[in-house]
Amino acid sequence: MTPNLKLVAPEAAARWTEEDIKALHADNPRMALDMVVRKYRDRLFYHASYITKDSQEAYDVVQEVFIRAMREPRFFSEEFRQKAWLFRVTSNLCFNLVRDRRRRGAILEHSFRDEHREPDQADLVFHGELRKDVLAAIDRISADHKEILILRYYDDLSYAEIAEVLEVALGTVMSRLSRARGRLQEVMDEDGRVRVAAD
Amino acid sequence: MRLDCQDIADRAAPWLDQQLSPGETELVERHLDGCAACRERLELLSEQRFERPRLVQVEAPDFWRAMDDRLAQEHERLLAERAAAGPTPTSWWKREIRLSGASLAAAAALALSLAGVSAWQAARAVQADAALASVQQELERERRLSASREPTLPREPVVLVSHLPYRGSL
Ligand SMILES: [Zn+2]
Repeated sequence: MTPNLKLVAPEAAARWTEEDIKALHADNPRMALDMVVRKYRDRLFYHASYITKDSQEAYDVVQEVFIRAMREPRFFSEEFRQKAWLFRVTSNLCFNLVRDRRRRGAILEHSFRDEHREPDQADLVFHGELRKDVLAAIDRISADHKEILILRYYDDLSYAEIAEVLEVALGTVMSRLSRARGRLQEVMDEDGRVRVAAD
Repeated sequence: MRLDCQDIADRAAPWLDQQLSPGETELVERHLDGCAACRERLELLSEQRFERPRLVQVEAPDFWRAMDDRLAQEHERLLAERAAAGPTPTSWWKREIRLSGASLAAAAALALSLAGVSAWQAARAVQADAALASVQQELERERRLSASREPTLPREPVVLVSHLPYRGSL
């Protein structure tokens, strides 16, 4: 049987709930997997891109996440939280990458690999817009704080969804997010002072 | 109950995002009424702008193709590995060839949701048509496959929606 990974229009997949997909899986696991991929790949790619700031790495991470999903025996079981799991695994792989990159000293002033390859269209757009955005400052705070800010303000997850992704209580989401914004403000204030001093 | 400045710091984000319960919101605002330092701090935080950079390449038609191919390949490999490991009573990959009423219903729902693709995009209509045709093909093939293996299994007729309602408004 040929794989049917190209069957499903993303618009249709977006409207399918996890419950629909799990029900479909009992009889057509291939199509169910396809629905999961169609439903989440864009959002996971964005999430990975915000963390790694590198579209090629983000692409590789998302692919790896789906491979792990298909090998995760519980993935289609009733009580399994697919969305939370997908975001969690994506986060973990991305932060591992970023940490390794840092360890290798491959990370210089910016976390782009421009010096190794021609930046693609996406990186240019990304890079261009980064300067205006707090996303640049986000790289300079702790991984925990960076992650929760991205989940909330870039991925648009609800507080309850973030609690599931991070496997913490709702109150922890609230306080961690608050501290993350406080920390971000400190970093941006430092930037401001540096810029003013340089002028 | 009264909140101190640390309590406010811990509730800054949910207060700004309007995610606190009415009771908590009231408590926070009571503190803010009497504390200029916290007011100032929250005002600063409220000016943070989280704007998403646009990652345009996701919209390119070929962007996901390599991943689709790779995932299909991985799935094949997974099926082969599991087949080699020997059958178990609950092997889901065995059930894959059987097409039950539930699966047909799911496929029909899929067809319906494909039919619901936004009315204003003609290009999408063509895409949905192709997807629908290929769902139908796949279902037919699965039906033949399972019919040849399990001839006694009773089955309902495959009814897929071939009329896409949005055509009327194009
Ligand atoms: Zn105060």
